[in-house]
Amino acid sequence: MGDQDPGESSSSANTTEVEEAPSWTRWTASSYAVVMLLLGIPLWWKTTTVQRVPLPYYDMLTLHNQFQNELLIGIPIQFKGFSGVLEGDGYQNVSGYSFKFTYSVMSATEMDLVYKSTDLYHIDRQMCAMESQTHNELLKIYYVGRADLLKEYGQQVILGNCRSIYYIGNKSQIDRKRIDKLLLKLIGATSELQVQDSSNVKDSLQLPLSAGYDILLSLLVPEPETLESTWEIQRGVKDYLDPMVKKLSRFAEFTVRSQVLYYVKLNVMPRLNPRTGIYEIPNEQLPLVINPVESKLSSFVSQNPALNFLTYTAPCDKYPLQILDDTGSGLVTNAFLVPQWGGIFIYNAPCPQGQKNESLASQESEGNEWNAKHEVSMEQVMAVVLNQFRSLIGLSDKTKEDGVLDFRGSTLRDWEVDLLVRRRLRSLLFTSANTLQSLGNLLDQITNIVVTEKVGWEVEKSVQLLKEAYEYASKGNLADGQAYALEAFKSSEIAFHHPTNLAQLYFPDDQKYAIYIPLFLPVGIPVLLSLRIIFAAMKKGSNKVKAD
Amino acid sequence: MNNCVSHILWKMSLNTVLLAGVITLLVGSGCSGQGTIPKEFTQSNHTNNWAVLVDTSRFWFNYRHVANVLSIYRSVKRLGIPDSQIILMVADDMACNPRNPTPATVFNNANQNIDVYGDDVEVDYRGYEVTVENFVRLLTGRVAAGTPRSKRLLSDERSNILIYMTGHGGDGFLKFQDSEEITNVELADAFEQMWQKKKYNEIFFMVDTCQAASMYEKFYSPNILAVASSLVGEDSLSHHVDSSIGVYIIDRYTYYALEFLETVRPDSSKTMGQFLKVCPKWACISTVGVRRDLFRRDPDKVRITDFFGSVRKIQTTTNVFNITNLVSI
Repeated sequence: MGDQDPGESSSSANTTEVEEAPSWTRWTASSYAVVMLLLGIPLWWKTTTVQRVPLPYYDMLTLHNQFQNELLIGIPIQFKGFSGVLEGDGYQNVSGYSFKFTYSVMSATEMDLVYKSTDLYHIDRQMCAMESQTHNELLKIYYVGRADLLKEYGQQVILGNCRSIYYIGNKSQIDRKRIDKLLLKLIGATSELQVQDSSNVKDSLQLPLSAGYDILLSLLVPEPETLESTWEIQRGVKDYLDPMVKKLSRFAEFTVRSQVLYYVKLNVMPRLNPRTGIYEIPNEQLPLVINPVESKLSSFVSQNPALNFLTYTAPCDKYPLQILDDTGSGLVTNAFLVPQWGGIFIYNAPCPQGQKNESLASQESEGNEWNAKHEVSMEQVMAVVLNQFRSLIGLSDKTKEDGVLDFRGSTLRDWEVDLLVRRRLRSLLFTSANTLQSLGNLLDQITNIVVTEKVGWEVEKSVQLLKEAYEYASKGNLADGQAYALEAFKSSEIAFHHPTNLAQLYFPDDQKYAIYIPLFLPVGIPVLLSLRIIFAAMKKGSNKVKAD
Repeated sequence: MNNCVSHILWKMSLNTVLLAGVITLLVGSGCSGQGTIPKEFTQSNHTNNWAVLVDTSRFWFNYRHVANVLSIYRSVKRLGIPDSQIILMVADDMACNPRNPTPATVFNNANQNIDVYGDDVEVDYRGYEVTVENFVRLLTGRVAAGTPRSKRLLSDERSNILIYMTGHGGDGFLKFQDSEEITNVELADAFEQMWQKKKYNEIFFMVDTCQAASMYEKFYSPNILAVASSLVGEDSLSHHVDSSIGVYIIDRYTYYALEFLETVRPDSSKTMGQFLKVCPKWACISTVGVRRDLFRRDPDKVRITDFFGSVRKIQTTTNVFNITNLVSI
């Protein structure tokens, strides 16, 4: 301070005494600048940058298209014992599937089986046994040139219960037309057109895609005071449902639960047919039947989609209860199903005699014996459940089908499970790729969304697994293909639904600048200006040194 | 009923169309009313129905918004959507408000006929849980890992979703809780995320707020039908006061929409086209806005229960499994 005026000092900067005094201010100004530039700005930059883990954007955005154009799930088929080969170069593509044909002669044991067994069932059973021993998942078409079977079945292709297919004919030539029909059947289509169609009821008979599924078996007892129905569900599940679920474990995981609901009535208004004495439920009422019970069926824990199988015991004042089909005649099965939801079966438990019209008071006077008990026939229930289950997962519900051997000892044929696995594999691949594409677009477009390490890791994993699953699928290796695709699906779901992927959580970039500019500009400008003066002075200083 | 006269309309010359319109109105009620479902309806691809019902405003003087949303809740529940598939967001608890003269009730009419609160109301998001963030999380499925099933919209590509929103809005936004707002852009983007992730088959978006039409302006995802209680620049008005409660108890648009829904039964053959005509300007005072360009079906051929109910597709079972086949080996 004192009499030294700073303005004067800068103007008379030639004299050495005046230069000494502001040198420390120069040092402080430059230290401010150094702190700001070397510490402040990098720190600010570091702490305000959005964490964005690098993602494989190219793969995320292109996998879906790649699958759409190139995905062909391989299905190897071996012809055994035929004399000719199919024209073409050994493969045939049918709506997203690629059949690869190989040819071989029958082995001696196969010859023995085919030509020395009593009937086709016998042949098939032994073929199944052989298959399960060798773990061979190849589809095989055998030429069966037996006059007796030709007489019994006519000339046709018959699918067995495992992965063996029998061509019964009088010459060992491949019939192109029959083979084409067979190929469509193996991918679950009756005609090539149907594969693309998605609007009809039949096509909604498929499970929504999920990692696992729940099965809930419910017994509805609307009036336990007049007739208390019970069921031995554990035995029923163990005997009938478990084998099916076990066989389906290659397809997906099912968890089975059961419950008995008392005092729950379905939304039906049956009409008494005076001629037959039967209470009839018209077909038009069926779409609304399940509404009142739905709230009692959903799980509060599991996030998996559920298949519900309801068994409704008819209340005694509406006994017997009969569902009518759309033509107005009684439906023999007394059951119907709701796509993607489950099935309903009306069970007519025999009401105690005489109680039909009796008042409740008189029943109570009988003391302990007041309510009758009835044990629901598990065989009847399961016969319906198994059939509806087959329909709900997208298989044919016909008990007898042309060109398919009847069921023996199982509710599912191996080639049917293969068909389901292929279908699921396909939708797992497409859905995961679609999810990744959508996520890639989102994260690519909105640049201020955080991409956490978790999301990055799941995306990376999903992309890798999808590529591997694709390789396996093309080769026709279903088990590995599905295992990889399922993991890829899970990872892509986690990545997509990760709670941090929400634009609402973050400041838009323009608002960020609106906050920092008023904060930093008043500090930054003086520092930068002082820098200019320092540089100017330094330049002058060095010039002077040179001049000296 | 419109189907009854539409083919006649085609044959008429232009100058008689107006006259025919009048006739339509006069004979309309006589034309419908058969119990059977007309074949003209376009088939929907959905297999399940969901409803997301949102009231965004709190405080006692906004009693009507709670009454609005609970009335719609009652209607869809009566028409068959189970509680497990209704996500109800209510920002304030009017039933337990100290100013409520009859605690544990919410009425939507001065006659106090129906207690819309009732004893079986299942509110999924309540009070301060009703935020923009939670709403967008719900729609897009980006919820925290431990979220219970009742707070998730577990819809799939075969779900028809009814989304009803009510509260205070302005041009391009709807206020949540007096502290934040959802913009029409955010809402449109959330719907697009749902579409890309295949979380819906069709959406019916219904909004009762001031300048409501601005909320659907920015939508760009397919299969959305939207209706709004007022156009941009217009206010939506309330219907009437209950002097014993002391505040307005329902909004005009919702009031007339409910009047229509009261006549709908689960097996009804009423159409969305009819519903979109609800509350003409003389009744609503505001103009009801409709956006149908994203919707692929003709609303006149869409059953109202495709959105306001749960009419299931069914298939009768014709065969049973031959159990003895299983035991034979």
